[in-house]
Amino acid sequence: MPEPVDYPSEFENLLQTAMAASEPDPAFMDSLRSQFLARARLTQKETRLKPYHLHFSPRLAWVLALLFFLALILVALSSPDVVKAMQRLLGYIPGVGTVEQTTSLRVLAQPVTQSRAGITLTIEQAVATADQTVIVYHYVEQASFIEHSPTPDSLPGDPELRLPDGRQLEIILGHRLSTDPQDPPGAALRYQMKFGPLPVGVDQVVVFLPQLIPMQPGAGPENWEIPIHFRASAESEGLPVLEVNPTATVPPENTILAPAASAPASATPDLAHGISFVLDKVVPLPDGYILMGQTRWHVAVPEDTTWYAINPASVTITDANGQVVPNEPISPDQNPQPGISPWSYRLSVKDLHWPVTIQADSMTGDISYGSSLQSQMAFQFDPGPSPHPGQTWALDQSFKVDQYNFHLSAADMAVDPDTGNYRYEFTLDSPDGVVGAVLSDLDQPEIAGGGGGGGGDEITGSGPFIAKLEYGIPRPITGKQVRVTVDGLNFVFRGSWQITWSHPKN
Amino acid sequence: MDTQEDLHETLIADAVRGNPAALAAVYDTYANRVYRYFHSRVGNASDAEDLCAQTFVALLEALPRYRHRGQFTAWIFQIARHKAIDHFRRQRPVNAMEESLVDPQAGKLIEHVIDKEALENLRRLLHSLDEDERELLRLRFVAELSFVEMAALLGRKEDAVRKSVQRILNRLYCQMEVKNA
Repeated sequence: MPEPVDYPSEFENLLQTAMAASEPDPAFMDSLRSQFLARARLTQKETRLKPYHLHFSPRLAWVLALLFFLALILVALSSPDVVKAMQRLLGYIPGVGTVEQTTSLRVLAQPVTQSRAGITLTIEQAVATADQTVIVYHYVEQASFIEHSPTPDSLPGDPELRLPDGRQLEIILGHRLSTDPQDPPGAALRYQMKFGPLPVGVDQVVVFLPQLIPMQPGAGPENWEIPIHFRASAESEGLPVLEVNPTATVPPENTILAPAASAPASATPDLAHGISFVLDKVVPLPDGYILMGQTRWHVAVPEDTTWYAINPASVTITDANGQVVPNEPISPDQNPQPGISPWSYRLSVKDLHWPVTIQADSMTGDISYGSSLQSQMAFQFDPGPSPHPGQTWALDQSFKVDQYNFHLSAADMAVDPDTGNYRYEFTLDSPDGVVGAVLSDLDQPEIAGGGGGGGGDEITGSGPFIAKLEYGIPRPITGKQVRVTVDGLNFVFRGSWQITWSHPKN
Repeated sequence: MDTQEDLHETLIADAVRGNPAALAAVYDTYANRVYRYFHSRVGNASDAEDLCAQTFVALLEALPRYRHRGQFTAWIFQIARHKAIDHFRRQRPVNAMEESLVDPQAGKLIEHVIDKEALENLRRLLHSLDEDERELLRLRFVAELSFVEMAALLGRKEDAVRKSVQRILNRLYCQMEVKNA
């Protein structure tokens, strides 16, 4: 029954006047608006670098997987001439990746360097294809600058390519590249930017950089304007790319193939846990090799799953004598897709005892579910009438999320020492390789969420782990059951995924 | 009292996807209300501006995880309340009485038509409320949240929130009557 109202309606007006807060300064609000939208643009660009989401139905995913393997078989069976022709089409340009060497390809006429206030900046690569324009720069700091987070508090603007007629090409993607052994000493950063296609006939542009990421505004020289020239590419512009023919058949789980007797050698799609680990391309360098491949997770996921990915936890590369080949992971030139994670390693040895073996003993995976699972209760927990920090509940509950089984054995209430907000910590274990879970409160999704793993064996993917459900308020909600949903899962799988490869000359 | 309606859910979905026009609409709809809420809590423009900026940065980071359940306004003010809590935690221990609920500079133009003494009395009474009660009035009369939005924000039933607010107003009104008697 509503509270009887004893006050006249004018009293609310009086109260509003008594509580009236100052209006904001319009100049501040305009400035904040600009910064908010600029930051949103930056976030969008960073997000585009992250895995993008496609929605495949499980059936379509399997059809695509089947088509992929058929395509691999066709490639394997095709004539050497066709393979050679394909190899000629692809070239590897350091910092840019593999490019098709067609007549429309244009490249940087020569590197351009500018020095300002103790910083030397070099445009080291520029490639214009029919689809995009890629610019790579690095800078060397001769003075001391503090490196800050890649998301500065305010943004002076976006990099752009300025064309002679006054038009601009806006940046589409940008990301930091791995360091290169060839980088000059003290190179603080190598950065790759992708823009739209350069108009036909335009061979001169000005690269405009409002600020060198990740410097904060004011930390160094800004508004760089660097003129660069493009030229038509030579017949073989990039380094040759060797396309690796995969084996036409899928071996049984964990089979380690013998070194290939003939070149080009073999990659093994080893489907332990539905995971294939495949080598696609090899680029011979003057002082080593770049190995490029991908890890694919052939797992059925709900149709609205927003993301799933599998990656090798660590990789060991050895030669025919079992000696470890020095290597380092470098940025792949392909973007990840749901279920497909590209990888790339640079070997820093040229003379190798063939074949080399790329070995992964464990894989880490993650799945982010869509609303079909996020809106379903996974388990329910009754904290009783007066839950308090330090309280522990012994539980014995089994439940299933997607295709994965869980057992809930305990819950604890704790207080976040930083925020003072409370949380529940659930002790879970799963026989299916799950080592972490992202949880939400079905009834309080705006204030309660969290995740995490830990406590289990993250190498073997076995044993109990803790999943947290954090609330954005300091006092527990009392008198109601907690209905918990699972928004995402983290996995570790043990196995043996191997690829062997020999240089064709062997 | 009318409260502002939530943005259309299509617009919110666009904002979650990073659509610049939708994000601009989110900012234009909420920025002043969020600022006024902070100003009412901290009592000075500088901190209110800082907290307002922090809230919109946090909003941008949290948006991809937002799932629309019809309570976008409550969700935004949840972020704002967290920022306010963090702010006071970082400051010296706060005497709730020192938090500002009213701005003596605000509403000057209106005051001349209202009984000034009654207004001052009411301001004094507002300071005597405990913080939970002041927060309820702040959300209702400064941030202009509906009872439904307040219920979603506070994790309570709408009817319970409505009754709490009316109970406070009844008490304040009775105290005013006693003072004026």
